[in-house]
Amino acid sequence: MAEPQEFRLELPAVAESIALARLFVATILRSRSVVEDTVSDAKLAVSELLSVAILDHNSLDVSVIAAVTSTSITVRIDPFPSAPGRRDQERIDIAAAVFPGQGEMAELGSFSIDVAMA
Amino acid sequence: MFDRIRQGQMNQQLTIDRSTLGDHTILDIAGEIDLATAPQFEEHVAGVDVGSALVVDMSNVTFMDSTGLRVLIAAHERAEENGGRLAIVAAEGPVTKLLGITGVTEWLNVYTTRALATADG
Repeated sequence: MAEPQEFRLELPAVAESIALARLFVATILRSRSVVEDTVSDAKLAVSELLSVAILDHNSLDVSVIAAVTSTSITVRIDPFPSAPGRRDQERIDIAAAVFPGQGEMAELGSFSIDVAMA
Repeated sequence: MFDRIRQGQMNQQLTIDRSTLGDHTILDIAGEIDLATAPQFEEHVAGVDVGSALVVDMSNVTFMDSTGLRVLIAAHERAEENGGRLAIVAAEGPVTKLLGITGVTEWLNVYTTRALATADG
C-alpha cells in the first residue's frame, strides 16, 4: 500500500488561524474532486476541532495535517487535548455528528473522508 | 432610518450592517463566524435592546461554527427573558445545517426570508 501523501499547515495557536485552516482543508479536498457538501462538512469539523486545540492554550503552535491516499483523506489536529472541557466536548460532538461513525476519531482531533465515495 | 456600522480592516472576514425596519432592528451579517469573529458578532447583537424585536439576517453568512451558534442561543434566551424576540433569517446552507445538526431549529425562530421574519411579530 502506498504511503499517504501528507500536507501539513503549521499555524500560531490563535483564533485568527482557523479561517486559514478551513481554506487549507477545503483546497486539498477540492483538488481531489470531493463534492461541495463534504467540503462544507470538513470545514465545520476542522473549525470545531481546531478551536478545541487553540482554546486548550497549551501550545504556541498547532498543525493541521492532511494525509491523502487514493481512497481517503484524513485530517488531524496536532496537538489535541486529551481531556477537553464541557464546551470543548460540544465542539467535538459537532465534528463527530458531521461525520457519523467517527466519534472516536473526533475525540482525538481527527476525521476522515472516503474519497472514493465523496 | 438606516444606520450603518461597519468594521474596519481588522475583521475582513465578517461585516455587520445595522438598520431598522418598522419596529424591527435588522442586523445584516456577511462572512464567516468562528472563534475569531464571534466576539464582533456578539458585540453587535448585545448592542440591541433585549426587549426589542431583532432580526439577524444570516443570508450572506458563508460559514458558522458553534461559536456563532452560542451567540445566537444566548441572544434568544435574553430576548425571551425580557419580552423581546430574536428572528434568524437563513436559507438552506451552512447556518441551517449547523442548526439542524445541533437540534436548535426546533426552538429558535428561523425563517428563510426577511419578509417572513418581520411579518411574524
